[in-house]
Amino acid sequence: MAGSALKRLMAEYKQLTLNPPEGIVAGPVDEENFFEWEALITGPEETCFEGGVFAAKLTFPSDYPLSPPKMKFTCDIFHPNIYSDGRVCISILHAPGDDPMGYESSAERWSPVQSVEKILLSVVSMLAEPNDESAANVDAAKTWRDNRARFNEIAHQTVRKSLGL
Amino acid sequence: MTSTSIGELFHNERFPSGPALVLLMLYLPVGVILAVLRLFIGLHTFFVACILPKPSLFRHVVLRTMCGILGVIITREGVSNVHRRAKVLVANYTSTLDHLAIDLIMPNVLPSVWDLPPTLMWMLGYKDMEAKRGRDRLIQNAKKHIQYSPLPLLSFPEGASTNGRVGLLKFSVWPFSMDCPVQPVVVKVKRPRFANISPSILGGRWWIDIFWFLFVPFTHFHIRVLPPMSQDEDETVEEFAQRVQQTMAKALNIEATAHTSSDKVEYAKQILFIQPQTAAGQSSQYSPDSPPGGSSSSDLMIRQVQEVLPHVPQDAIRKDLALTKDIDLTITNILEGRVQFSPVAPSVNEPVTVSPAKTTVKSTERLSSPIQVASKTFQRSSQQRHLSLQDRKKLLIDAARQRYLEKHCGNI
Repeated sequence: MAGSALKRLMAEYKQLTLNPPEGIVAGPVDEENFFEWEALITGPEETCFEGGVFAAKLTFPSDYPLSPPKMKFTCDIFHPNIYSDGRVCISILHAPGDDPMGYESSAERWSPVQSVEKILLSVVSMLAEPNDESAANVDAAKTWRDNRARFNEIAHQTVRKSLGL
Repeated sequence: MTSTSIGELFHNERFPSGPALVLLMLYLPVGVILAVLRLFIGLHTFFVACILPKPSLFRHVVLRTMCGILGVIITREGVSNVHRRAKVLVANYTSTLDHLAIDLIMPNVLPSVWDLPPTLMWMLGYKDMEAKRGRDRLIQNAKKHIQYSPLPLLSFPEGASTNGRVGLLKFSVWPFSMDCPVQPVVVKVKRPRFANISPSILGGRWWIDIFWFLFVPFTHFHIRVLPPMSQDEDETVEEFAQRVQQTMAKALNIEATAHTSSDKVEYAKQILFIQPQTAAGQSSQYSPDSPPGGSSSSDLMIRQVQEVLPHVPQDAIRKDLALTKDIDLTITNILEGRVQFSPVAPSVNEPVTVSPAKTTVKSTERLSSPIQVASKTFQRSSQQRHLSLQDRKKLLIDAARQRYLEKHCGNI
């Protein structure tokens, strides 16, 4: 299984190198271990995360693409769908069957036809539109819902921090 | 039903170990000369076999003698069990030449599972029954054959070879759905003790198997014909297949296991693909590695490409693989759009593309130029790729920083 996982990851790496989505760079941290990737995601424009570049780590299972990778932001980010330790909670990262929140339809779930690119794009749209119904960070979800100005301020700080400013 | 682990069913190593290996080394020079000589004789045998009509006694005698020279010795048992009405021969599969050995005892036709040119197919005694176009098609064609041809149909319902020592793989049901009695045939392969090279190994290729056939002094095929069996009225096809499997396993004094040929493919992948990779380090992993699996290698290659690119239909992959003969090349071709196909299973695909689509629309609507850091080439060496990745990361951050500063100039 690891053989096909590697081939697939190689193919996706190539695709992301030659034709990456805007504002996204992704690839293995070190090619000695192809199952550990690093990704940079630019915060979508006209949102509170605009302009920030956020680093995340993707960890692939040996039976990828049968099972989804895990994704974790390595920088501070205050967002309803990101745990305080950086883990990302979106439906595309869950295989059908394991549903921690209990309401995702299996159509939005992980399947081998998904890809790293689709995950990263989903994360971008998650940054743009937080889903406060399935909150991973309750505090962030509350702030997002009740005190948008505060949330935007925190987000703006995160953006500056991510740029090293 | 079974306690045998799948690994016991196959030989992983071609050569024996210990003192037997020393004997084999002594035999080596003789074997090489023998193999070369036999190669030429073998070609003649092959042509004789093609020219002479199949069920003739003359062909039988000539071929038996020539096979003896080639080191293929065939003995038979239970020929009185041969039944005229049993038009389907069911045999266990232990080596590349099983088909030939059985053919010499009982001339037959083997449905081909490969895309061979018709002449070669005819020469090898295969018949195209359109097995590639689905099981129904195969059964239909096989039934037609049984009705009109005097030659019985040979099948290896195990679907993959085993070492024939421990157990039989689970039988595929198609040979049992012919509405006619089947004739079980059990094959045992033996080689002399001092040159006890396994006739087939996990992931071995057929032409290497043939070389070792020519190399060893002789290979003894013992073919035993069992009484014909037919499906009972209150029995399903699966049960019938299982009953035949058990009868054959008993005759061979081995176990009837529930492992299937696809289990073998999976196991072969485990053994041949993962282990050498982890041992050899990762740098060599992307070299065009042809997959294990001998005769079913093309199917395996298709499967491997599909694991990487599940939305591509099999036909498209097969076509391109036939040209490239290389998994990586085919993957590249598909990814770069050189292969035309209509994607399969779009239903799974669609709902998810909805949300990312929104983002892409948004970003194209933006006024400022987007930061896209694409590399023009995908470097061959991992170091260069890594450097290029680092460069692009830096580029992205620098560009974002600059843009931020431009926008928020007043704030700083």
